[in-house]
Amino acid sequence: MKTIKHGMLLVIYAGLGLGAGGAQAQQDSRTIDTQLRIGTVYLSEDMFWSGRYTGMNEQGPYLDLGLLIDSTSPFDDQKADYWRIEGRNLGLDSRRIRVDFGEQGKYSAFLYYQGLPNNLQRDVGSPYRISGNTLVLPDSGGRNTVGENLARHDLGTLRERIGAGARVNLDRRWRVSTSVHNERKDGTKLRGFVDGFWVSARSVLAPTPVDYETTRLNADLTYDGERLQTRLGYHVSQFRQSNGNYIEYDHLFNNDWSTAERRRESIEPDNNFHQVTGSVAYRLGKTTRLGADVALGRMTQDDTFVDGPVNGQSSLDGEIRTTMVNLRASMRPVPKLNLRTSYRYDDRDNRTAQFDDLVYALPGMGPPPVGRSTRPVSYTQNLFNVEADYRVYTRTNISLGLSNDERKRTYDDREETDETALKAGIRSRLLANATVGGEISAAKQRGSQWERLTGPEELRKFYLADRDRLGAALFVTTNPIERLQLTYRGEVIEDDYLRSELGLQDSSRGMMSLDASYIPIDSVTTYAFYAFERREATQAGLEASTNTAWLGERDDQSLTLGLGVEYQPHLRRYRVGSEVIFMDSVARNVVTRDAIDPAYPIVRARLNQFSLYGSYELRKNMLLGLRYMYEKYREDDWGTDGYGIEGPGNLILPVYDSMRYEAHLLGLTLRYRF
Amino acid sequence: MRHGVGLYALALVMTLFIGETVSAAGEGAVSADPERPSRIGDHISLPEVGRAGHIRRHVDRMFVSPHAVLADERTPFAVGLPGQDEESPFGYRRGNMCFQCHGEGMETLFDTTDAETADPVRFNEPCLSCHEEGARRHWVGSTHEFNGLACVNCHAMHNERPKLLKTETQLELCSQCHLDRRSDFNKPSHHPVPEGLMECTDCHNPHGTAGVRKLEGHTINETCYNCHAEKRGPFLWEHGPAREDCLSCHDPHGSLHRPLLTSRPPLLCQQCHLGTHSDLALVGGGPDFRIQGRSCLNCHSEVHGSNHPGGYFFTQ
Repeated sequence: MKTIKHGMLLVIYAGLGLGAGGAQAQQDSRTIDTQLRIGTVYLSEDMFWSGRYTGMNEQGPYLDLGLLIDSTSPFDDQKADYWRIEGRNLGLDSRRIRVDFGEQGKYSAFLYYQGLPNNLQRDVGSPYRISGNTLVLPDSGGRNTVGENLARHDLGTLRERIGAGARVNLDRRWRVSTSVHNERKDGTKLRGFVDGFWVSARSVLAPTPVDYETTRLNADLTYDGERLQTRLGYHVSQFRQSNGNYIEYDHLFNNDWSTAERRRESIEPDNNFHQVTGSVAYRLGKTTRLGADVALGRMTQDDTFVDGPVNGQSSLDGEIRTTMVNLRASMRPVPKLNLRTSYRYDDRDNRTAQFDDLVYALPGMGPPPVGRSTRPVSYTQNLFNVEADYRVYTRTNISLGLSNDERKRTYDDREETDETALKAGIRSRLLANATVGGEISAAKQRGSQWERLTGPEELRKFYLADRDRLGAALFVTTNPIERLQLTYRGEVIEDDYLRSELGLQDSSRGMMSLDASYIPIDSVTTYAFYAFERREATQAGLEASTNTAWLGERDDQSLTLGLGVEYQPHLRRYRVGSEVIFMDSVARNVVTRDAIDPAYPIVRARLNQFSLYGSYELRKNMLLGLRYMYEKYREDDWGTDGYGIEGPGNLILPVYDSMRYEAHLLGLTLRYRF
Repeated sequence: MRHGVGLYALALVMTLFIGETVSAAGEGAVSADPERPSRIGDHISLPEVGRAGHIRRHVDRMFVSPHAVLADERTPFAVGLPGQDEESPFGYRRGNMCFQCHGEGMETLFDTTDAETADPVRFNEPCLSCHEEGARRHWVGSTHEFNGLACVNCHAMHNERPKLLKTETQLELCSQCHLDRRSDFNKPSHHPVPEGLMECTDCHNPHGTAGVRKLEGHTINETCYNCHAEKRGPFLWEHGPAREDCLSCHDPHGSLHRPLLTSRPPLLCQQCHLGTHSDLALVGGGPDFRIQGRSCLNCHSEVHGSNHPGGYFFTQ
């Protein structure tokens, strides 16, 4: 065997040109690979589904532009330096450009810009005009003439990120890395503004400006030894509003807007987060690995109160200390047995002072009859987990796991909850052409005495309630014939809130998916996928005024189907392919009271998409691509469809309906390699 | 011996062709696709067919991967400088090349489809001998490791893709096992993963982390705050479940209800809040200002927490 190895090495060395003078000859072979992609895409109609996040969502032409410049040393160069510039979607709002450079084994660095659009609705009608952080109503209008005073808004935001980072290998074991990211989010979203409360409440959904930025910085120092690996890190995140800490708006429910009161609502306050993290891992012998992680964080917020001060303070001076400790061990005492155990301590210690007996008037109302006290929420989690995996046959493993999750909270209906979970699994490759895996699990959540602060007494919040959970999953991958691969996954989880008279009674999630890939001949690839998911839940309520019970049933279903084929003949210049995607999702809610079943109308979304694409190699370095896509999308949402500006009763809605369109996309692209 | 003959044949092929392929690495047909404005390129990856027939290409790819860089003394192809020890400080013999991972007699071919020989522990050994650090620090004992995944299930070392992934996109790769994600990301409300603006690793590290569910943050909320820091607080008025776990109300992979809600309000909110709001369910058959539009959020718009002195009901 040794002879074989040495023989092969000699041949490889010869082939790679590593003999005398070979390295020098290779020094000139460094290449700069430059590729340019340019083309155009035309949309026949507005296209929400495919264009929401890319920015290609409005009818009309778009520039399809991309580039890739890659300079890499040959593998046998004396210096392994590289640089790479990549630009994607440069003609769209989702443009991204990234620069990477470095020397492999020594250092690496990157810079990037990325746009992340989220286009929600176009041409939304609202009486408000946006001016900075103020929503202004036209003086000429009033509550009774809302529909005659509409302005048009596009709902959506654009995140623009820039970032840079570097990593330097100080020596063979020590490494330092750092990165900084800044994101500016700008745009318009819907926000509700309320006037009065409960029976006298009136509200309006209005386009509201969004303009803030987040800056994150990470710095790490790591040591990676043969047995011992450690890391010390620092993370800071800073959130800042760009236009103050409030939104001003004219009071809409006034018959003469020229005299409308201008009110203020707070928006998300500026805040900071600092965190020091540490991690250590040690390999004990060949089969045992021990690890520990610590993260100590501090969240602060001291933004000035809108319409303050209150209780003698003009800001919160809020502080939360977070502590996370992980202890982990993994071992293989015998080759067939794999064990892992972990303990996790997660603590959120809210040190913000409680504001007692705080009295403040709600818009449209006087001050409440009693003062309210703030609830600076704290919690502590202790999570213990142990699992064993044992190989019973050569190709079959069984596993068992036990975990206990104990949590303590403040200012909630239940001070303590405790969940114990068991699971057992099997995975096998006993069949030569199939992998089969399955798992069953059971969990029980119990807790301490209930101490509800508000009525009704029988209500149990689902995340605190006594709960029995059962789960099962099955996974199969098989190649029944050489060129066909099938993958199936099914999963069901059922929750029973067995002691909840009011609130969530039970819920379940069932999912099954099937993937198929078939290659009838080398030049043809086909695939199909199917996924179906159903989520159901039952919840009990009580009408307080009449003491009448009601029962709500939720049923959400989603189905996704896909089918594709691609033909790419060997040594030919062309490639063609096609894909069909169908998605249908339906949400049904039915509420039963006194034998009456008033069902909410359904919420539904359907997508039909057909794509045809192909490419032709005009020259060795020039590729022509053609793309056609038909997309039909339809949403039905009873919450907004068909109401117009007045909405139902005391709600002023923005004017828009759910997305419904049929659109054609045609794209022609030329890719050129210099 | 069977392997030995194969190796000589392989070496011969390489001798004849390697020079040509290396020098042609930057030429030839346009292969990279820097622009994917639509999702139609997100194909399901296919089973490898005719592997033996592509052995030359398989070997060639090694020389465009980071593992074959001679100047990086950490790679098994690094030959070292005159005067250096033959034994690398990284635990292997310099210039060990293919044998470093495939074994002295090329006995480990990393064929995950061969049920007889596929052993994740043995397959992972060569990788972990160098890579049990950095983002892989939590690999041993992680869920994927514990469930018998091998590095080569997701990575192809003879490959020039970023991170040596087996597929073009992370979603393609991860959804081969997590099939439900394909359904999730096709729901009306989803994070922009299929559109290519986010990747699975923006939130998860598949090699394991200090956090739960292989999340990048130490907690679920900490992960979410990376992009949604406006929800972080602390607030004057805090909403308990939102402070503890964003997943109390949101399903981050995809939902029928915007924005990524687990259910439609008012029923979502009525799981925990009845009291004077309990009659809302009675209007299922007809419109009401408390269920149309954004339902409860028509008024309680600051549901994550409010810093307004009058924000007790999260309306301000």
